[in-house]
Amino acid sequence: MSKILIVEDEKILNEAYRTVLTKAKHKVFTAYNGQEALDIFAKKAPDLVLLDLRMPTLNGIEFLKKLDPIKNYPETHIIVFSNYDDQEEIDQAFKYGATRYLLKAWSSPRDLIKVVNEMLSQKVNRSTKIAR
Amino acid sequence: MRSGLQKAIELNLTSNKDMAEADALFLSIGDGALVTDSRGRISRINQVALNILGFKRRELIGKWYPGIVVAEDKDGKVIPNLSRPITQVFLTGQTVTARIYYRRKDGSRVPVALTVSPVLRNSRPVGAIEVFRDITHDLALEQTKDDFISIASHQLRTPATAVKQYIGMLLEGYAGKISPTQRKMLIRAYDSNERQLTIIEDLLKVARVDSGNINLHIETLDLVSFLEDIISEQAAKARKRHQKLSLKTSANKLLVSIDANRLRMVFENLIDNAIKYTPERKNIVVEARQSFNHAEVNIIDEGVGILAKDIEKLFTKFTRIPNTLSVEAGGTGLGLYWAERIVKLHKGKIVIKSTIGKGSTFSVHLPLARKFFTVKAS
Repeated sequence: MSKILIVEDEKILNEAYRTVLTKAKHKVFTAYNGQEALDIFAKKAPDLVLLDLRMPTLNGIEFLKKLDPIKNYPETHIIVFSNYDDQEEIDQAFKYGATRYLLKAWSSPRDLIKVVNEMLSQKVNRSTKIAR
Repeated sequence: MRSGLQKAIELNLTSNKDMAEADALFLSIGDGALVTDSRGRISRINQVALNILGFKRRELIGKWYPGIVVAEDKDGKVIPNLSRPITQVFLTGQTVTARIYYRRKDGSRVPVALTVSPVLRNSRPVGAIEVFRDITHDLALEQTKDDFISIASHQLRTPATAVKQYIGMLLEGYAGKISPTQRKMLIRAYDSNERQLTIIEDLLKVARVDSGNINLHIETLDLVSFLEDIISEQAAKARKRHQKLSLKTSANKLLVSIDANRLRMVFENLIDNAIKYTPERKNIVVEARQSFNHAEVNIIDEGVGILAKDIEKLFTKFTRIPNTLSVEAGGTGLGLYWAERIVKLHKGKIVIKSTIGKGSTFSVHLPLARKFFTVKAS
């Protein structure tokens, strides 16, 4: 069982991911913006963060900048789960420590579990930048 | 203010009735209009043009047009004299249409749509006539339309994504076992949702390319292995229709400088169309070759073909050619429009040839990476 932090401001999506990942036997924490996510991260030290980018209060990129996972949490997987595939946003996400970039629109619950489990089964590797 | 010109007309009236009629016509053009001599000096200008540019007639008459009225592109960069539409007309003898910005006398910018044509006497250009109009309102409307599409699509995407997650959960048994009939219905709903997401995606892509706010992320790569990669991913779709999809190339390597993500989508779109519009058990060949200083990718199908009158419509928005082969719902009619825009941004083009009943060839021309070309040339 791994600890997963879901950061997603849309309640309906946040709940969907929680259901899916809990069913996949993970311990799930949820946050609705980057600021909440920082607080929960500090307390729970998750193994993986599922991170939306465009959120109020503190967005996903700002969250990554503050968390600085490359320096502070090199062992933590960070899957950006966004609806936007602007190259600038993808580049920024990887620059500040994302380990994978997934598009919400093309990921079914099954796809999501597959990617999450695949990543958790490996060590963090920041040299491959997969975005799709 | 108009007296000078009116006098000219009167003079012409007595001396040459045809000239006077031409002058009267010129003055009553509802758009801005001006005439220059063969050296680009303004010889005539109507009131609408003066209103748009904010100059007085005497400030312009006899002046070198590119010198006195500054032209800029949409980013505010001054268009050099050689690239000015009027200069192009003198250089090529052809009519030029363009959308540019002029600097008014007071320094403000005005967007204009213009047409410049050569004035010929004994087939020699003796001057040029430029007709232009202020398109401030057109641009504002276009902007509103683009914003609307963009905002509406963004707003639609979140609920559509949620539908996908929840139907996905039902299908995967999260809420208990489902009957075969329930599964069938849910799959229909899931597929419809996929289609909806595709449409939203297409609308957003088109809104972005239409807005002009598109940054290509150019990298230099080998087109041959790039295509191999795409084809191996598309092969499953072709196999489903018992078609053979193959790559044919005489070159080992074709270096091009492209936005890989976007061109991947362009080729996927073209190959996907070829698969859909080709009967089962036929072939689709993707051919990559060098032709002079550009790379040419031909997507050759043995499909139903496209009528000549439909070919020219293919690159317009929301055009869909009915597919007699397929029972599945057609696309949005935005794919080819978007593809052509993207290829054009790469300074390339898409050329279509087709014979009814035999098949179509979609050729994508892309400039070769400069380095590669010099090596070949030397």
